Amino acid sequence: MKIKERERDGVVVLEVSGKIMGGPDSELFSTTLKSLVHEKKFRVLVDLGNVTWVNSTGLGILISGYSTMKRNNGEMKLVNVSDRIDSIFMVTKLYSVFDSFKTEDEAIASFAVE
Amino acid sequence: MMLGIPDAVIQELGSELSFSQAELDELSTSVIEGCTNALEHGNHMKSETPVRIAIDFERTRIEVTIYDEGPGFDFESIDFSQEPADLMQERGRGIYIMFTYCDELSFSRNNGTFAVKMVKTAKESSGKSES
Repeated sequence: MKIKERERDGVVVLEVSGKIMGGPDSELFSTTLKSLVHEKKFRVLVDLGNVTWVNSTGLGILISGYSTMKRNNGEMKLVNVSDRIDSIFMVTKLYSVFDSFKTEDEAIASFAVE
Repeated sequence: MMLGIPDAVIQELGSELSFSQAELDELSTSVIEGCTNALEHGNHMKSETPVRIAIDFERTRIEVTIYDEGPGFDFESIDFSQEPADLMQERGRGIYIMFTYCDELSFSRNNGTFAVKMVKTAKESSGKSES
C-alpha cells in the first residue's frame, strides 16, 4: 500500500494505492492519521480509486483510522470505491459506519455542510 | 505476504471460464481471506511452513482448497453466517466474508493439516461458450 497526501478546501485527501491487507499497511495508515491529528487536520477523505483489493485485515485498518479521527472529533470519509471493494463494504455492512461518495467534488462538499 | 498471487491466478483462470467479474472478485476475495487465516493463524507467519493451494475447476465451478499446518480452530462450534456483533470490531470478518461470498465453505483437519475448501459456481453467463 502507498499513500499520497494532498489538501483541497481544508480537507486532506489521502490517495491510497495498491492493496490494503495488513502488516506494514497498518502502521503506515495509522502513522499517517496520527500525524494529521497532530497537525490539527481533522477532515480526511480516503481515495480508494487505485486500491486493487482490501481483505478483512485491511477493513480493520480503515476502521481503526476512522476511530482515530472520531476520537479526535474528526471525520474520515471514502471516495472512488471500486465495485470489488464496494461489495465487501456491502456484505460487512460497513457503509453504516463510513460515508462514501462517487466523486471527490461530492465528498469535499459534504465536509463543508457539516 | 504474497496474497496477490492467488488473486492473480483466480482472476486469470476465471476469465477463461463462465464467471462474471463480480463472481471472480468474490471468490478471489474469499481465497485471500483463507490464505490470510492460513498464514496468520495456521502457520503463525513462519516462512518455512508452507501454505498450499489446490484449485479444481470446470467451466461453471471453481473449487479452491487451502492447506496449512496449524491446529485450526473449533469450526464445528462456529456459526459462519454470524457477522461481527460490533461493526467497529477491527478483526473477525474473514470467515463471514468467505461464507457470504462462496456457495460452499467447509473446514477439515487431517494428520496435522488444516484445510478450508470453498466452492464458487457461475450463475451469470459471461457470454463465453465452449470452444
